[in-house]
Amino acid sequence: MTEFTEEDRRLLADGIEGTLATIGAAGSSVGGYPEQNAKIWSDLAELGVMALPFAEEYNGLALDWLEIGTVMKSLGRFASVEPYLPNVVLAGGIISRSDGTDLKGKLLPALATGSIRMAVAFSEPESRYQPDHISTTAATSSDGFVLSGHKALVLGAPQASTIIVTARTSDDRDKDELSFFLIDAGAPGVTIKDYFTIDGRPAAELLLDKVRVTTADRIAVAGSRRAVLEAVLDEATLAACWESVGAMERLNELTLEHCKERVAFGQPLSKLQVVQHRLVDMHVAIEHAAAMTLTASESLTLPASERAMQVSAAKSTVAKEGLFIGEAAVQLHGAGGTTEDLDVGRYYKRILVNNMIFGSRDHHLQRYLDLRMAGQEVRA
Amino acid sequence: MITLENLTPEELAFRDEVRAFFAENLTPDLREAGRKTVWLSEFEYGREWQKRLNAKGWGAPNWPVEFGGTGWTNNQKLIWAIETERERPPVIANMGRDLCAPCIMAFGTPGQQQYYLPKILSGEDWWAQGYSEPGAGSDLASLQLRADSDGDDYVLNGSKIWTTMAHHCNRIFCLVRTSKEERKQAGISFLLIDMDTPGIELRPIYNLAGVHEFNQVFFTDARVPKTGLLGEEGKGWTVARHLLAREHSGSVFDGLEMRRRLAWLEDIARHESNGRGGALIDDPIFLTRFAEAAVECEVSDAVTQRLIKAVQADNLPPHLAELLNIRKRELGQRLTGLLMDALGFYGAPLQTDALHVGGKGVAGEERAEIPTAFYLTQRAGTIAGGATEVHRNNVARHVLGL
Repeated sequence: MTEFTEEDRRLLADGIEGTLATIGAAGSSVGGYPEQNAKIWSDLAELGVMALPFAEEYNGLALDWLEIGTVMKSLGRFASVEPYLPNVVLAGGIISRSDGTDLKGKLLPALATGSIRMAVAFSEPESRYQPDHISTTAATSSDGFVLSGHKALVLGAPQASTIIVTARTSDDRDKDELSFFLIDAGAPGVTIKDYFTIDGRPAAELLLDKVRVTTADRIAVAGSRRAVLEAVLDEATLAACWESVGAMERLNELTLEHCKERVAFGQPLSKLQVVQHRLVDMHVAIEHAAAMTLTASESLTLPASERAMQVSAAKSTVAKEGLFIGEAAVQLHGAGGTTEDLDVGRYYKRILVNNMIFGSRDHHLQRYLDLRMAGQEVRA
Repeated sequence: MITLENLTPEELAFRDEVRAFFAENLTPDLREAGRKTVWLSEFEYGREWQKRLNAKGWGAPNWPVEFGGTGWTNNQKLIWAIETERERPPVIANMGRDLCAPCIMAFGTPGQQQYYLPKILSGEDWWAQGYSEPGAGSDLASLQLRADSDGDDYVLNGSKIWTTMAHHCNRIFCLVRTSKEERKQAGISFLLIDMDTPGIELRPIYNLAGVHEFNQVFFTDARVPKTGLLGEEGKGWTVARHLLAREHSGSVFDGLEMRRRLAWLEDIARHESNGRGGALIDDPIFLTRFAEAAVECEVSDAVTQRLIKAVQADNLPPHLAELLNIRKRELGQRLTGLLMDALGFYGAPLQTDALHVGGKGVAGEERAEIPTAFYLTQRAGTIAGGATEVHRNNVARHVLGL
């Protein structure tokens, strides 16, 4: 396993940000997925960014969460719409935990080079933030399964050729489990209703109407599949936190710059004490958010309940501080901040969407509380 | 709830007339345009509503009777405001009727009054407001748009920004700089301009919800006849002050709007799954946030009631509305944030098309179509008409004497 130093991480961030700077934050303009993004994706792959978390035998670099965090933060600093999260973190996370070498050997090297696009469909219209509250079914057929259901807000689905879908077989229902299935985006019965999120990311509603898959398309994992999904979603949650921290960092920079430059009533905004205090609070907010995110990242190797508590503490903190920074940045930019003219809105909307996916602030407060109470019961 | 007490039989009859008017004129299309309003309604529906009001003789309730106003009493105006809040017709910025016309009445020549006012009332003319500039927002007196005298014309160079709905307007009233003086409020003039004047160009500005609402208006050697001057040259600031006082007084009746948002939130929370076999409204953390918002709406009603009493008694203390509006604007924003949060991840899709009458959403139930755009657009609520920071400064100076 490669050891990354602080210097290596800085070089990694410089490489990514140098690549993203060629299109800037405008790459996340509402309602468009620019043509040039295909080039950005391959440039990022060439930097080795996609290979970071995977085992070395699958052309990966076997690096850990500080490096993934570095990547996500850099993507956040450009409000990038690149689907790193659905491909590397979500799909890569599930495939990496699959049993046996066949599937890993087939998909991980392709994910590591960015040559395959994948997505993971785990939410449904009624699931809100409980990924085990799903109603998509996998009925047994002669040579495999028949999938039916509606998966919601599947990030990266419009570009994906292969999608991992969560569904329940009758056996799953009996055991309170779920299963992962690989489906071909073009298979009969698959409908992808694509759209953009408010921060410019391609996403889709995925409708499955009697989609036939083979037994081999069911991903085998060791142990509980629910536990695997929870672990992968915790990683994705943290990835979103890192990305939001990057966006918050950029918002603080842009806002400080704006307040120094913008003159009103005969002096720069930054000379007004009310503005100074708001800027200070924004800088306090990001320190809190970044510290909690880092600590939670270090907890990923801990037992599930401890890990989950830390992740929920991080997500609820980032949501709260991110919203504060986002709203303050817009307010201090005045009318311009409420438009698509400035980049401020793109970072702000990235934070908002990250607050809505993988569990809202309130969801994670409740999850934290439930875990904490349960832990106290165990101790008592 | 907000109530009007001690209404006379005549006033009750007037309220019935108003309700009958809404029942007859607020068609399903107009109602949809009103329901989908996140800041201003879709333009053509707003203009249609103005035409219907005018046909009834209610096109400009606040105008003096001699210019076509209704001559309503304070109570009639309150009845009208409350019923309007309740029914939520499509409303667009009527800068001509509400902001420019009062200035034309106060400062215009008889010729200007006869030419412009009837067209404003009928909805034939629609006016944009050319005040803010890229370097002059809340600090308006810093404006730079040059108007150089040349014979019978002014030659305009510069730009105006945040001109709401200018792409639908055929006229624009502007504050321009006709001379550079020591005091920046001096040397400003008020000009009435036709939008089709050669040398005027528009650049669309999209808001955070992706809606084309604002514009930047560029003037490049645009020749405007001096007959468009309202009031004296160099005295535009006096005209503008007349107008700003009206703009800042704001609506004192939007307590009902807070109620509407709260009821909407409750409705979403009853229908959104909580992912645990129940509805969002069963979740304790949501309920805490809801309870706080509900109590703040009660407070908002109480405050509105107090303002109504002051208006009824013709005794509205100066700056009281400005002071109370600070919190109301912030509550309004927080309610839209709760609406968005209540949708869970279905708050994320961009659903711009759904904001149009007859338009459709891309994901989730119909209830998911509006709240996020509403939240995003309402960020302007604490910026437009003067940032709340500036209003706090005003209150500190004028109310607290600091």
